[in-house]
Amino acid sequence: MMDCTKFQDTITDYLDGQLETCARAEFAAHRLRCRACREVFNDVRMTVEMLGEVAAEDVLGETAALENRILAATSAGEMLSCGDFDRLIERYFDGVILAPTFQTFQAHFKTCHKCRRLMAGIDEAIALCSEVRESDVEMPPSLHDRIMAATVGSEGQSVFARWRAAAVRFARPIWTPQWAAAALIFAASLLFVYSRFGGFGEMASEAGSRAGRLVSESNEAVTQTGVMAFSGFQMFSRRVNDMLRDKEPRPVPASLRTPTSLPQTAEQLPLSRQPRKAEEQIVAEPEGKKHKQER
Amino acid sequence: MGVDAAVSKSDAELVRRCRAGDSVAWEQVVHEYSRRVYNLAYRFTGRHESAEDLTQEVFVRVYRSLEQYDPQAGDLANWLMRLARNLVIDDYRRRGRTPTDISDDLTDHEYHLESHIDAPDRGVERQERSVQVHAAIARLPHDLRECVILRDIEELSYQEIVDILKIPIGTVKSRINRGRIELAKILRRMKVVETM
Repeated sequence: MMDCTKFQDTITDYLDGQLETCARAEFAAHRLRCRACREVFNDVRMTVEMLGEVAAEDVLGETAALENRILAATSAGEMLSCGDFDRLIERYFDGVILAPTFQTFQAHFKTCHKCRRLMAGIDEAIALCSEVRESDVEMPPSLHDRIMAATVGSEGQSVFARWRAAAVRFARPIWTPQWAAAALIFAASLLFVYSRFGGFGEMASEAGSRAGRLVSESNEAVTQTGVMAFSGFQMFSRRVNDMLRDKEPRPVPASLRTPTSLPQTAEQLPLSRQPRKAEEQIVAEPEGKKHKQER
Repeated sequence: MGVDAAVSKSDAELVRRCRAGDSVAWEQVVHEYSRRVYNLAYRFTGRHESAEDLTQEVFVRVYRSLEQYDPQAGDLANWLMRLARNLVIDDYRRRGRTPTDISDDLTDHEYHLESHIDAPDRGVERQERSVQVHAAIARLPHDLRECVILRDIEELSYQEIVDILKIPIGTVKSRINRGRIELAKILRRMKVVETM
């Protein structure tokens, strides 16, 4: 027994002839029995008929206006997509674009702001390329030698180039970290020397003068010490002689007495004076010896 | 078979010319198919202005897709109308779910229908009824509307509707049945059915 819900669910199947014989009979029986469902069925059937009429009907009267509108909207420029335009650019610049395609291309160019900007950029790039092509770039001076070295070796190179290549080979290890650190330290030393002495010449002369001063001071100190030792020895020997002779020591001459205080620093010991003292003492030495020899 | 091959060949040639920028060939395509596309668009939009806009949009999209046309896969009419249906339905679903404001149109049409009901000109009566039916279709829920239009006006098979809407065939049948019943109720409320 078909109920109202089942009846309404199968209306379309009934109209399409899709129901089986048994179901079709149940459907017909329910339609006769139920007035509400019968009205619904009749309404649906009429609606489908009306839809069929609508389907056969043309809602558009005159097509010319619509066609013109479509053609205007799908003018060549609109019809060409930006992707198609991109693909045609190469052919356009190569001058091998066909006439009808060119019209489409040109129309799209007029209507599409984005593609116009793209073309302007390409135009500019081409102009720049041609400028670069027309202006020669200076070849690096070493390139010739490098090519010669890479092809025929050192033969064919100038003397300067050989020296230069050798210098480059020598300097190449400096790029290793250890050599770079050493070079840095060396450079810092040079900088210090220049800032301190104003150059190597000044540094050498100052160092020489200081070394000379030190040598002179050393000489003077050694001489003075020798003189003192010699005078002490003379005094000692004289006393010994005196003791042996009359057991009465003779007074030591003032010139042979030990100085009360020795100069402690180089400043207390003027260089101009020392040689004179030394000469006097050295001069006195032969007298002592002579005296000794005479005795 | 020979006729189909000839049609495919002529279609392929027509499309090739269109793609090459031949405006005469493109005019031929527009002239041949614009009416069908417009009718389709009107079924879904219910408004002439919207139908014109949509038809124009469809043809722009069709032209840009011409390179995808494969003559081996079928004739141009089928390909173009399939594409048009997809685009119209996409547009319908995108605008979506906002019901078309046709209340004013309906009132006007009801009034005109009553005034013309006794008119001897059956053509005018039929035209008025057609407008009423379109107005009633526009009142259907969107899922029912697209199924009813595709089945009862575009006269597509269930399988074609399945392919376009990407829904199961059972759902298609169910929606068509419910759509017809709902449409019948709307037409009855509008006194369109009663007057038959």
